[in-house]
Amino acid sequence: MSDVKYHYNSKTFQYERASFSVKDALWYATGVLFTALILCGTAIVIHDSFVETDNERALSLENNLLKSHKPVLEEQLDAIDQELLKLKSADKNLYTRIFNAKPPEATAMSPTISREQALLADPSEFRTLLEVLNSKSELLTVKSSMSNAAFGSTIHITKEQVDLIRSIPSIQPLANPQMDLLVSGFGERINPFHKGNYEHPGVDFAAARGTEVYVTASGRVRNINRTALQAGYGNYIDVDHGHGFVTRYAHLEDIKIQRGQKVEKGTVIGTVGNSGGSIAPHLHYEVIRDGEAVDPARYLMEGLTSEQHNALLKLSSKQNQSLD
Amino acid sequence: MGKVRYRYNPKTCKYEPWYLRGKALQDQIAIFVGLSIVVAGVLYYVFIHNFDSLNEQLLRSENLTLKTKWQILEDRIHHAFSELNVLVEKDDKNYRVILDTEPLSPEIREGGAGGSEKFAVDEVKNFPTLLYDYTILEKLKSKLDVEVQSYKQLDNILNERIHMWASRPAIQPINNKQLDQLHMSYGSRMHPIHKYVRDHKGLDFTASEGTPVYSTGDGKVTTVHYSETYGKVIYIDHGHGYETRYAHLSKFDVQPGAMVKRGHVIGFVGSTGTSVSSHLHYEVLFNNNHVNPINFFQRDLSNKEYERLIEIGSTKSKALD
Repeated sequence: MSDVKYHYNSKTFQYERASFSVKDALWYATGVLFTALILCGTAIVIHDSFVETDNERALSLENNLLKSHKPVLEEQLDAIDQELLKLKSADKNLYTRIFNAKPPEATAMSPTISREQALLADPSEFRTLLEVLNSKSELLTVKSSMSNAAFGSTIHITKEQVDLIRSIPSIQPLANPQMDLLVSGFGERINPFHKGNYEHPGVDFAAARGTEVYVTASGRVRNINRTALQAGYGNYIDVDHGHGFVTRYAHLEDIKIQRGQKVEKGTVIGTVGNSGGSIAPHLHYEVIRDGEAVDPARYLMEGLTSEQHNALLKLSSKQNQSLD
Repeated sequence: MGKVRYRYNPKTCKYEPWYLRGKALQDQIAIFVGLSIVVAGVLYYVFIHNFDSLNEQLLRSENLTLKTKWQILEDRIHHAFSELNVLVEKDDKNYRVILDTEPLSPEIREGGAGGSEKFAVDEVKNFPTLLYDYTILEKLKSKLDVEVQSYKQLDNILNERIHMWASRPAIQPINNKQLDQLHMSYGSRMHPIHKYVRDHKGLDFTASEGTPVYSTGDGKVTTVHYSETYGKVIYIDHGHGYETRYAHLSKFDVQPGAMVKRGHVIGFVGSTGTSVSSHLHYEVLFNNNHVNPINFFQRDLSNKEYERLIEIGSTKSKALD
């Protein structure tokens, strides 16, 4: 008996051989696939709930650890944060007690004065000198473009002008790369010993004992004073730069030059100390011009950008206690 | 299948309707199920080997959440560490310099750190993150402890210093705004009564009788007595090697042994002892040696005032005692 199947076609009144169409095949495949998916899904669910893979084991172990240790660490951290807060207030307290002023805010360094204004702060020399130099340099350009030979004979800055420039104490008396050593400025400040106001005739740079002190302009050592007395300037050096400029470096530990010696700008003349009436190792630096103490910070410009100089001026203008 | 299927029966020479039933049906079902199982098997194999299990996916997402939170925790640790480092830096570079104290040695700073073994429990040991965090936290803690101690030490040093600064004889012993009352400077002077040159070891302030005399620094009154030369005199021991003396007073205002603060009224100007007119004779001693008192308030004076003082002092006039 053959397995061939027929359909009855009612239009032609004939039996026609039944064929397995594409549509039928698709239906069949879909059925198979659907059943397979159900089977597969069931198998996976069964597998998941009975078999634990290594990955899962590791993950759940890690998760449990993380979960259980988080509060432990958090608790410890909270305690640490508390301690840190206390320490920070201790830090503020310490600063306040040393300087009798609020500690500076972290963002206090915003330039408020322009370079020009800073120059104008002491205009007499700098401006005229700059003008002279500018006009000369213009002339120089013109002349040199005309004739190289004309150079030496017609353009020169007088020796006196060079001397004047050289006598201005324009560098910082110690290395101050972070611009943070100037701790007390010129003018009325709190005296650290009797806590009353007094005129602080210079600026204080706080630095460790033994820090090198540079002479801020070329000149001649006018006076050297050594004393064991815990009052006054202690060991100090006066350097005469001519043109009415004298600088004083006080509370030194070591003095490395002789009286009358000629010194070039930047020479190491001594080291920072705590001699005399000083509450901390520091350099008390004065600029005395024609017998009057003037604010040294105004002159400390050489090698500084205007931002740095402004930062210095800002530090210098802070109302606090000096280190005397 | 709507259509009825037929089969040709050669015996009857007829087309007979045919239905799927019996063994044929069983065969059909077996084929269908077999195919399905094979396909399911293939799918299962592919899935198991290429995709994480559902559980694993769930665990993984939980893990991700936990790790994110853990990251926040780690950030807090690092933040705390950097804050502490700022304080350590201030301690070493600012306060210890200012207070003229040696910075803490690295051994002390690192001392007590190394507690990582403490957490070498097996469960933690296998997780580098956890172990690292515990180690770093332990380091942070011990560093913090050292720093807390260090700040306490700084505080003590500062207290000591403040006490020292407060006891330094830093002001003038009488109210002397105009400086006119500072009659005499330091050095050898002709004695006004005995008329011979001798070492004059203090400063004389002329002032009318009864002007209050102040202690120039914190200290303890050691002597309140009458002497032939000094007259009514007060000695104050300021500690740290300093002593001050106030002579020729008309009246005392303290008892021996009293603790005085700078600026306390201790007596009144007079002309007792070997004195020719009402004035205060003021001495400062450091380690039992006389020093010039002017050094201690020199910086309260402007340069001009100071120069004038030196001028007054250098003209050799008679002392008042």
